[in-house]
Amino acid sequence: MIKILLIALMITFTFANVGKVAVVKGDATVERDVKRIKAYNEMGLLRKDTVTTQQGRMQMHFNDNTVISLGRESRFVIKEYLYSESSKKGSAIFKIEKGFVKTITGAIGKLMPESFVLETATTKITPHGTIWSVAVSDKDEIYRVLEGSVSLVFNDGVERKIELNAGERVTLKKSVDGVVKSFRKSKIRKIQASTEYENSLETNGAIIREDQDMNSGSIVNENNGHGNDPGNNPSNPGG
Amino acid sequence: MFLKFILYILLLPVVLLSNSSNFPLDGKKEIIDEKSCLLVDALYKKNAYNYQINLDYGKCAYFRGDVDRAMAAYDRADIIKEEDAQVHKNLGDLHAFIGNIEIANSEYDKADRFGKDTIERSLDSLYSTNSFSMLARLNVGYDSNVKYNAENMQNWDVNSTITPSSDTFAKEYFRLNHTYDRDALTFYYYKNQLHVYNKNYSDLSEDDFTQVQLYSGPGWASESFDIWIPLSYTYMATDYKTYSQNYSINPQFRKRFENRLLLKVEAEYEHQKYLQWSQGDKDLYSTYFTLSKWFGSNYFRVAYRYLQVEKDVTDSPRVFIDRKLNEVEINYVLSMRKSLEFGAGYLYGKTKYSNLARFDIEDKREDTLQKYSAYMSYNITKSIGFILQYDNYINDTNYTPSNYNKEVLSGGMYVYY
Repeated sequence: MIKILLIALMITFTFANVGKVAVVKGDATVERDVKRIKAYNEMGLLRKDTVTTQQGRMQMHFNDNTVISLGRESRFVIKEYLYSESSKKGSAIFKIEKGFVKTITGAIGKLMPESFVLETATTKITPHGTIWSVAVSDKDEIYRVLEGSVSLVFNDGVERKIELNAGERVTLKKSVDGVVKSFRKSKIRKIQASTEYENSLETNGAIIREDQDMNSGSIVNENNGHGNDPGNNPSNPGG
Repeated sequence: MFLKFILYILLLPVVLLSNSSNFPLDGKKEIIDEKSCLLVDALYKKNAYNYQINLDYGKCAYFRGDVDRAMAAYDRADIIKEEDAQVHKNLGDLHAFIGNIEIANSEYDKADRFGKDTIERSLDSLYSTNSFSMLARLNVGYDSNVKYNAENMQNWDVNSTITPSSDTFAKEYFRLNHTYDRDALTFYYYKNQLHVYNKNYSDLSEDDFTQVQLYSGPGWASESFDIWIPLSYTYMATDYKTYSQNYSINPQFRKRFENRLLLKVEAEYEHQKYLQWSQGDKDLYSTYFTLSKWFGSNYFRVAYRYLQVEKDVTDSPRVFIDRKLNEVEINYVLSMRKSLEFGAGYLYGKTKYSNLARFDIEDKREDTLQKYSAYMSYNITKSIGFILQYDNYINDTNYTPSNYNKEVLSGGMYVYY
């Protein structure tokens, strides 16, 4: 009986929609098993689906409110996806093989960032924030973080990790066989100097010596003990 | 259904235009309100694939401060109708709002390309090459022990103790800040700051204090750090007689971490030239570390300061100039409502002098200052507020004249622009 229930549960997870096509414009297909289905609005998405856009673009919504937008000439794989609305737990592994993907992180990425991974041929990306994008071509991969932050871990076995914060971009240059040749991190924005981090203690902290140097002592004449100002002549004993 | 949809398309701009309200995120006027957004929500549920509805849905999300939802809606509108100026204008505004200036510009470029007219960029209004800010404060208060005031202590005798002299005072503070930043994408900026401070006592006018300070220097800032290296000139006077002129270099570094954690590190070298006293010039070397963080509406701050003061003329007969100060300060602020704030602080500072406390004892002078403070501020508007402050100073020392307690109560208003 338990076996039957488990099998039924597995079948449910396997064939349950993990999300849907929110909007699609132009040519886009979903590869499911051996079938190739033309994508349409409200189309349900399953685990293991591979979504390909030709001259089209599309946006997908997943059950945890993750929003994935695909650019033209993109190929995107839903490798694993599991999410329980009631327990707010789940995991997601996506892969962008080529093209452009923009992600607005949902519950999995926000509550369990370690359970959300977007793979490319060269890296695994874990978000710690909300909005970011990746553009993958044969020659390079460009990662941009618009809000929050992401961690990139390289797949080449070398322990390299890049933390990207909002407003930062990293460009990976690849060789013909897909190995990372170099990467360059740069800023895509700048904010002005003032910040919400500071409250009135910081911003209004006037540099007023009268208050700061309460304890700074007196200036008196050493030769006469601690007397009055000796004037211009330090040896003057003062009054 | 179709008729309803046509009616919506025709009527929504009228609804939106007829209900203007303040935009909650950046204070800019926006022709949108909650009532029209409820209509947009209902229409979005019925037709999620319409360009105009997605665009309006995005505007409403932006109006409600939901950047994620706004971004998703604009992206959908962009997918449905890519070559329309409106969606790129809105995407530009959204990216400008969250600070992605480069991407905002690229969206505005698209809006210009697809539209008939050149659009107005939010960046133009958000960003200016020369920016100015001003803070002015006016306070009145009561000081229980005026005589122990700054360094203006001429008439003390080692064998006497000071009789506390209380007095009321009025003090004014003004700060003007100017930043030159050529464009939003360069790291470099140049900042000037002017501080003017004046304090007048009702009776003890010989203790009136005036300070004018000018900072000027280059800086480098990014999304997470800020370095400013100003040179400064300070003029100080007591009873309007020139007291000291100071020259300093004061590099300042700020690093913003995630989760609203801020680290500030400062270093300063200052030369103080005394004009009322001979051979009283001194050199100051200091470092200052501050770590602060918001936890919801609670703010904590820890600061450490080290100061070393040396005589400028080594064989000057002046005493109590050479000293080393270690100081720790902790602060707590509770932001009870957006407009009401309560703060408390404690400062502990230990100063070791190189001179003996008295001639008849072997011990060098050592001062321990403790300061307890509390304040409450109330903002009437974003720019105007009131503050009530209490400070209690307790100085323990083996140099008798400097043993003192002091309470200061003050209240006033401030204006920030």
